[in-house]
Amino acid sequence: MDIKEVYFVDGIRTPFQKAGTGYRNLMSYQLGANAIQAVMQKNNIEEKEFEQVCLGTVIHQTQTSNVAREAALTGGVTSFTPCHTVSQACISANAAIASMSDVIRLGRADLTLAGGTDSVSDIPIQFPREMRQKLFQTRSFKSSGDYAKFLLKLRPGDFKPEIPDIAEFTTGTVMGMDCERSAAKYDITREEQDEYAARSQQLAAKAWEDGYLKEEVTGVFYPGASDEITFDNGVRKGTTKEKLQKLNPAFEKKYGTLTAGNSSFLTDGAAVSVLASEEGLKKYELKPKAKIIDHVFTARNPGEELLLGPAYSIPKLLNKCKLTLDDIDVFEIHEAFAAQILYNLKLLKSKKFGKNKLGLDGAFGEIPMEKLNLWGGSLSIGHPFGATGSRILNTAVHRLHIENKKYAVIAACAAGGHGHAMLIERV
Amino acid sequence: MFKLQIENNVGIIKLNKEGSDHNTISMDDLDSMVELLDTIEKDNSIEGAVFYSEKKDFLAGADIKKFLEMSEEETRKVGKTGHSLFNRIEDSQKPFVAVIHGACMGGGTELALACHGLVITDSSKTKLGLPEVKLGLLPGLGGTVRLYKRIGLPNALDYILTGKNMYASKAKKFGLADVFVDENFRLKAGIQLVKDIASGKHITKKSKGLSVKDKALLFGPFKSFVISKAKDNVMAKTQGNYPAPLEILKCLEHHPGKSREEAIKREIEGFTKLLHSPEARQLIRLFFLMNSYKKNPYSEDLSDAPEHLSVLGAGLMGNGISTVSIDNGYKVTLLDLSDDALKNAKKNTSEYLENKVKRKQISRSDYQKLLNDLQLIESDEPVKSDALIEAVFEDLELKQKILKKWSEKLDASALIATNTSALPVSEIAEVCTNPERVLGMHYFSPVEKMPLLEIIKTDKTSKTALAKAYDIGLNQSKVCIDVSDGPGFYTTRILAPMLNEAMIALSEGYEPQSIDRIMKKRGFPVGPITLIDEIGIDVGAHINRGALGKMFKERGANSHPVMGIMEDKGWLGKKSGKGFYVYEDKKKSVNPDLANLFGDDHSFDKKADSEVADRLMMIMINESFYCLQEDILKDAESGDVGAIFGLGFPAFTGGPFMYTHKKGIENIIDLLNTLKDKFHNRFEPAQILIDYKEKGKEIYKD
Repeated sequence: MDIKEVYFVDGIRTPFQKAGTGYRNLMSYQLGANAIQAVMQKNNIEEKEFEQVCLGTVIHQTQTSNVAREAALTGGVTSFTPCHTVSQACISANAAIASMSDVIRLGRADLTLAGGTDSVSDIPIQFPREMRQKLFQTRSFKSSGDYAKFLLKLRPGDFKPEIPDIAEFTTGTVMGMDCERSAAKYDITREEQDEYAARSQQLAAKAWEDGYLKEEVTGVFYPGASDEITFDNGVRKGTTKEKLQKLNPAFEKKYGTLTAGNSSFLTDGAAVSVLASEEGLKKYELKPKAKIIDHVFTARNPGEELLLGPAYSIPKLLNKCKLTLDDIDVFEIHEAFAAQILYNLKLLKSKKFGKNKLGLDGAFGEIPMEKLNLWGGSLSIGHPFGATGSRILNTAVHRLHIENKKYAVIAACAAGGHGHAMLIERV
Repeated sequence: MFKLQIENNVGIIKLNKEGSDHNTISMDDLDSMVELLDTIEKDNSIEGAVFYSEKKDFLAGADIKKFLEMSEEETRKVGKTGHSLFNRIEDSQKPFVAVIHGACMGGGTELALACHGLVITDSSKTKLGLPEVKLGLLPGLGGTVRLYKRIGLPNALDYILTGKNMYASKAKKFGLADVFVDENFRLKAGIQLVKDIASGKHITKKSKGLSVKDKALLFGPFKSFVISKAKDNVMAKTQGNYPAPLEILKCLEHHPGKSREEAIKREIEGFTKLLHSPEARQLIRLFFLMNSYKKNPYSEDLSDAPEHLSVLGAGLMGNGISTVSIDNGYKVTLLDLSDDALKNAKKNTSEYLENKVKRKQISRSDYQKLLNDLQLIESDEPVKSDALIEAVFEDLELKQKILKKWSEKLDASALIATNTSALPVSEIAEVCTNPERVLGMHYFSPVEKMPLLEIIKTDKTSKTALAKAYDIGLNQSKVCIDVSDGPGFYTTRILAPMLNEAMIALSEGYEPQSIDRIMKKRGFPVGPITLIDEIGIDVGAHINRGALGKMFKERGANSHPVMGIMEDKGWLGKKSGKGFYVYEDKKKSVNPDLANLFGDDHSFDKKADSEVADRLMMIMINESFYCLQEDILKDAESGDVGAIFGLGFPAFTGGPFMYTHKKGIENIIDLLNTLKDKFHNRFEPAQILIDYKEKGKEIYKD
């Protein structure tokens, strides 16, 4: 079997909206459909041309458990295209992109669509287990007497909703709290975090002003649901470090440094990327923007190194591809928390970490701020869990063209102690 | 040890013993603390200070080696110096805060109690404690003076008398923590607490004092009741053989209502007395021995340390072995032909782990992960693994058959161990392919609790195999000794004549309970008659019939036949409800039909006296010398360790060899000869004792 090269054709996303705002009346699959429709229109891709579709998601609705299928069908992809959904917390879209790249690499398809969609405004809230069991039994009820007995068995506690929170299942620790502890452990100050968060906001606002982000986004208009949505409503132009310093800690109230201002916020949105083989480019008359060279996944003990994904995945990727940090011009790294990105950067330039954890002679190296997340990041633009990987990829390719550079690396951390990194080359 | 740095107007006193993983405190360290306190008190810009450690422990305790060299006068002097330092901290106008993470034992806890405020981390590694009693001492830097004022008299007695750990959640429940916090915020929390106390924003838990109820228990008839109840407990447990708990009781009875200076004076007296008691010397020796026995003596020959164990037989022993194995990181395949036995074993393991979850020693997901490391297979066919520990019935032919089969299928490097208390390991090894990796691993029941593992080597056993057996045992937190193969190895061999002597005493008309009582008085945790009921009379009878019984017979000491008769009647001891005692509704009384076994008119009308106790003790001690003489033991020290940790030989004596050493070889020989003349030549002193005496050789160098 020949190994083929994988080309990035184009990518697009919906504007990202804070949870409970612009998209509060939409379901997750509708956001995905919107992005798919837009990318097809923009690139003149016909309904039957996609040979496979894969979307990532984190908040699963039971009615649309294979959300990729529902999004593709409503977004204009033919019913003859197989679709599947993947889930790997905040790197779900990365997993979808990795999987669709490999499908092309192995010659199983010539044109694929990968990305992700999530709506946190519409989380499935469950009844407690006992109530679920009682309700399940109603399926076999025959007489009205059965229902009468069922009603008599109900207790007030049965109606107490179970709302899922962003906590590690195995350790029971909420992610913000974990990041708070790591911030203390790796000595990241509140001031550094606020400074970084303000930078993210200012850069995102500027990228919108400069028109770069507008090119990556499609407007969303659902009659009756809302006005047309055309911009990311988490981006706040006037944000300064001084303003952020006034906020109270959000997780560890007394000794904490993480606030709503320097943590990514709950977001709704979808993003997709189109991938093709050389044959696919020819067959469907598409122009590539970049080549996807390689990717790696990493995993660490979630109780100890939950959000260190980039600190492990970037060295693993570059060592595998025999490149150094200096060879890379564009870095797009997911910003779960300002503290998280700062301690990942800190560990990469730490001798101790390089020696003890990466098995190197010294530090892996320093990522210069002039190369990192120059158009904002998850802290300002927002972070729909399942979609961020695709947004980052699209932006990285876009930046390679605007900045006229060769290599880009995208990287992210995820719940479960996972990490991902991908190497991209402009064409 | 102590380094001061100032941050944000708060002194951070870092505890950092250079060149050691653990922080321990010594007298020299206390001297260096004086300067720090001077600096902190003189500098007006410093608001207060925290004691803080970046190591995994806060303070693991005091350096006891140095104490052993001190005279009584020096001990008192050092005690006074330490106390005046801690008093100075307690009396300081500036707040002192101890930031506790990891182990905070002995002097660490006492330092914390002297401070004004406490930050305690919620980590499962965090534990406080005053373990001095385990060394035959009392907490001598204010432990008896300050703890009861914080957690009440009954709780303080409980912790100081047992020396047990107080885990973080317990410390919080007792109200010791001013701030209870994640380990990563501990320094920040400590600094903030100093500031809050200094500014009056925080009222310390220490200043709030005890509840009305706990205060009431400090005086009058309530105090007397609490103390006398604790004393009853101590006497029941120790028979008065250990002076430390009694001295602790006296201190805590004395202190309430007295001034701090009076209480401290009393504590120093108690500590000085105990430090120079022979019991403390032996317990401290044991403590150091335990630490040195934590190292694998064959570590140089260790390669491919086993990770996956097969345990064959899911009975009591196999179950216990697999439980302690998974609890210590091993993957275990447990095999048995009975599905019920397997399921029952998994249930027991699960309950054991559940208990650890309840005590917050492991998390719920750890529980699941550990339990998943136990795989059950209803078969006795070999499965691929790094080591086999076989624990089927004590039947030589069965063991030979099974181990032969396994040795043919397992990799040549895999360890093969048989768990047996008396079967000849050499005869089992003989039938195996690659017999050099076959050895015995004699665990004691209940495996989860008993600290000893006796490893039995044959002539062929390789050092690599020994290294692996040690590796497994040490990982299972066992104290390990290795002995040569021979009838009953070491522990069973010295226990059997002692139990047999108890049978003879019964036949002479000594009352069973009185025999148990007198041996408990001598310091054994259980009396011999109760012990044999618990081990199982069938097991005892089986051992008497086997090689060990034969060996004694050849030496002219017949095994008493009573256990064989009882086995035939189905009186198997506690497990069958009837043995030397009958067990009904949790009550135990002498089996009314027992006397008849010794003759028609037999009655137990004599109370065991110290001569009976001497006979039981001496026959056991004499046999341990036979083991040294025949090279079953490699040295006297491992014999002391084995007897204390495997058989409950009184710890304060230091073990059979140390006991002989302290009493004098000549006196022991004399006593044996006296017993021999009066009773039987089974008391004939071992030749090695005579040789030692004649050559003037010492068992131990002082």
